[in-house]
Amino acid sequence: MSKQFFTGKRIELTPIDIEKDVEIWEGWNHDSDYLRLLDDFPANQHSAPLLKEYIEKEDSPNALFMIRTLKEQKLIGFIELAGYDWVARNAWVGVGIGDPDFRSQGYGTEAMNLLLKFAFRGQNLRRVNLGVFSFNNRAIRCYEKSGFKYEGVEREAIYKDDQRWDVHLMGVLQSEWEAMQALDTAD
Amino acid sequence: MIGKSLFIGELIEWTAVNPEKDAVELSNWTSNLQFSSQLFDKPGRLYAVHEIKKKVKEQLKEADEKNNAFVFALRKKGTSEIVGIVKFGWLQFSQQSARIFLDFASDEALSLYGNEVVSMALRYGFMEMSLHRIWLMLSGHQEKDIALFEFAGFLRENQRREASFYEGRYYDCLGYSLLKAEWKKNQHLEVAA
Repeated sequence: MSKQFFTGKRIELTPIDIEKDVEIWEGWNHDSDYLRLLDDFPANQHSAPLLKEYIEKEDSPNALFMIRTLKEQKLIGFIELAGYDWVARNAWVGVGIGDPDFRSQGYGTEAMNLLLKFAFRGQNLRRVNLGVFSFNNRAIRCYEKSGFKYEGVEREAIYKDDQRWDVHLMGVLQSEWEAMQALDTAD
Repeated sequence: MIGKSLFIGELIEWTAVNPEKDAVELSNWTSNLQFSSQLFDKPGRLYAVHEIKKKVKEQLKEADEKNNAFVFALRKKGTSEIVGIVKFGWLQFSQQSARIFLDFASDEALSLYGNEVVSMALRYGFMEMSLHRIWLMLSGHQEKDIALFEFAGFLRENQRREASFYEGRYYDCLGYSLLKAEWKKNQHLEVAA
């Protein structure tokens, strides 16, 4: 496994640069629509120093990656595996394309494919889970393309804009993902 | 509203978990790996009494400071004998939602006290914590728990394939929830407009 393992056609996954990246991260959070699609916590602002402190003190097995363009090395988003169950061998993925100029162009899908390769071939996970708000059609399309299947809902789990919204749960099994890769290679 | 205790039922009463006094019993329960893995959110194993004392104490302190979990010992009414634990975790007050964890010392305790405890928990969750939604996750092998929560009106709303592992094989992970309006309907109460 080398750096190549984390490199796609247009982007790569890297560790966070704790000094520089948190400044950009703080900027993403100025976009409340981004936050409202990302998390069910009330949208909030955190300063770069506070983000830095939070990430530094987090002593967790979570795998947090920054998404960077290959050409310009521009930081455009993050992707993370968290909530590991090492007995049943699965974890939860969260992804955000913070830079609005890079949305709806397949960067999220590309990052997800790299992340799934890391999860299945690097960490030998057996499945990857995710939850997505029912109103986030752009993300749902991305996850379907990456091989995730719909596995049900969390009814009325989100309360925003004076309305109750469902969360959709999706999952992809290692065997399904590997079968997809075999097909892609055959094409 | 005042008069009927939230914490005292016919057979069971809810009190605080006392790590010093309850650790011996809780240590026994950790031979159920489903319980021990959920207790500390780590791969399950046997935990010694001294470990339970320390870790549960820390956990309760954190829950109190962060206000992110409510934990109760279920005791046989009028005694100090602990027969189970009920916990409301994953509290998201802005979404009015919480996850319930319910563990009994044995299948026998579940059969004897399950219905009363779930019914008390729903009253506590909807009427005291003002939740809109109470949810839980069960593994496909937990047949008695599945029956208990389905009897209480919970709806299976998701099924994550092979997301749980118990005694040598994979099971689907089953997501259940009950909404306040559904609970009230079951209680033959009118839903407030």
